[in-house]
Amino acid sequence: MAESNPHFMNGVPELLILQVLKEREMYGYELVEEIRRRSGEVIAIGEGVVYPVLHALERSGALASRRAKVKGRSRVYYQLTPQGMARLTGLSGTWERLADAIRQVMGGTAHA
Amino acid sequence: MLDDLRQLLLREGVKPAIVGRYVAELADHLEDLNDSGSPEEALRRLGTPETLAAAVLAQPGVRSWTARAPWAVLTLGPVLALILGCLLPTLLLFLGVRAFASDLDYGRAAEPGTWPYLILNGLFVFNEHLLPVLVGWAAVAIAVRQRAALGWLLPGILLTAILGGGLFLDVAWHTGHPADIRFGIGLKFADPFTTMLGRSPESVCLNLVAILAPYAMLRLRAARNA
Repeated sequence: MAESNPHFMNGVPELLILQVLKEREMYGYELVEEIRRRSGEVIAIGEGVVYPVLHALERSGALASRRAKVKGRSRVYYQLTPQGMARLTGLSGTWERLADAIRQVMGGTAHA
Repeated sequence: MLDDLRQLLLREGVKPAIVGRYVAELADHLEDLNDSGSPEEALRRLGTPETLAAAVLAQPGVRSWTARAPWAVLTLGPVLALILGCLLPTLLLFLGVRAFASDLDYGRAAEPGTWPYLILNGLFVFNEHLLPVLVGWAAVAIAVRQRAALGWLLPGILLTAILGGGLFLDVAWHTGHPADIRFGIGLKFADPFTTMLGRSPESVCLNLVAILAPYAMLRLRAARNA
């Protein structure tokens, strides 16, 4: 039986942020737009709410940030660290197990 | 809207550095949203101050020491800062004399004109007249910046004023031998109205007025702006 996971819902923004930042560094607005675009606008993370998650991930060492001027505007770019990569792997695994379990309950087929 | 959020977070005890960074990034984000739609739509997409504040407060470790332990920062902190601020520089001087003034006859080290004498007298003046006020101002600045209540600040200021008015250091290195050098700290008040400044009840009152005056002005200014 899978362990109960208190981050089942709360960890979703964190998982999506880490996944999107796996490919390249981004600033907050860009990140929110990318998640919205990739999820077909089904998932729209609260726009201002994304920053406390980013800051918490940075404090925990999962992300690193740098400030840069782009077209006269100050941007804070976030990028994944090796520690963040390990965290993403862990979160993805947990999420896939939970998704499989939910599919089974709903009557679908699970992965082997 | 962002200023409302700033005030809300500071009142909730969030560290000022975290509040500053969050509000700055939200301002950048709002500019991007304004570029892609109407200002009303941009504000709606960003979220209400309450929603945005709740997202910060849900994160661990965002609350400042002033919010978590105001007694430690605003009451105990100034007292410790005053004692350490008084003790450490003089102790360093004392050790410096022992280590680097071996060429000075210890009988002459406390004579006017020698560098230990000049520094020590400067430290005495600083400790008696400036240090209590500077420590009090630091406590006031922390309390105002972090929107702390008066409950823990007032005892801290009062203790700082009292201690600052009577704290003294006893330093003596004129007994002729390094082993006889004396160093101590104590609290002593002169009889009222026998001295204008330094270690007296009048000095306590002056400290209190000097510390509270900027606090009262800042509170009045904040009340006018509210």
